[in-house]
Amino acid sequence: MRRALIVLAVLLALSPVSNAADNPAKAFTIADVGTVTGLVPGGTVTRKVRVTNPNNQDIKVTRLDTSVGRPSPNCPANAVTVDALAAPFLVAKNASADVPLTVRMTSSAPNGCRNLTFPLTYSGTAIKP
Amino acid sequence: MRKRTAVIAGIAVLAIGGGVAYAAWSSTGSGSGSVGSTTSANSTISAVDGAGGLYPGHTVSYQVTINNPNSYPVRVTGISAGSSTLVNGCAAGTVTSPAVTNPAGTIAAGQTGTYTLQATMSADATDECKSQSFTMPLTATLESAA
Repeated sequence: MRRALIVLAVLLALSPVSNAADNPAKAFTIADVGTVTGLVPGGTVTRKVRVTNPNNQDIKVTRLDTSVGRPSPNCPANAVTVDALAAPFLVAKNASADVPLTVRMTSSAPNGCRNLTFPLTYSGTAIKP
Repeated sequence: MRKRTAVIAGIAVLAIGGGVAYAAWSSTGSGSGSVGSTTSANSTISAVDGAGGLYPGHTVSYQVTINNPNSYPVRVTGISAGSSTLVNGCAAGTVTSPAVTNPAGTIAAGQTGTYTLQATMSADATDECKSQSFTMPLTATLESAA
């Protein structure tokens, strides 16, 4: 029994999941690159975003989702959509990478969708490559 | 002895499992941004000179052009019915033009499209309607063809 306890103590001491402060996975940030306008019904525009990796390790972004806000009650909630990330991409440690996202306006978007600025909220997931 | 070994093995598996989870760490990211839609500019309908030959009870074709001042292609979804205004004693409504829905074609950005319409002179048009040019207010509806 004592031997078992010693083994347990050694294993716990070696375990790297001892506390949250050791977790190297700091959240990365996603931000716009420049201004994008020109959405029209049935059209698409490319919204470039910059992913910044604050970690001391490279990351591989595997998911990048965008939710679109509704700037006017006269423009339906589903009038504008943003495609999901086309393919995973690497972001080097303490560096940034730009990735294009495709934004679409449905062809049935009414006049209430003219000349609006649609807020975008980005969320993503990355893994250690 | 066998029992003790089993306990140790169980603990060892748990600890190793924790290590695997660490190796596959993931992180999340977030942020915000925006994208803008464009505004739209209204088109203008213009008459194409050359149509003629109207007489009471007769129908002729005439053409109009519709411009697209926008930076994206548009299609005409409808052109309203038209009715002539009073001209030199010829009563309003003497010449009429039926509405057109979804005429073929699109108008490229910054370009102009030509559309053919029909005009009919009323059978009871008076002599004042001879040799006149008739004006018919028309309205077109357009939508993005992007």
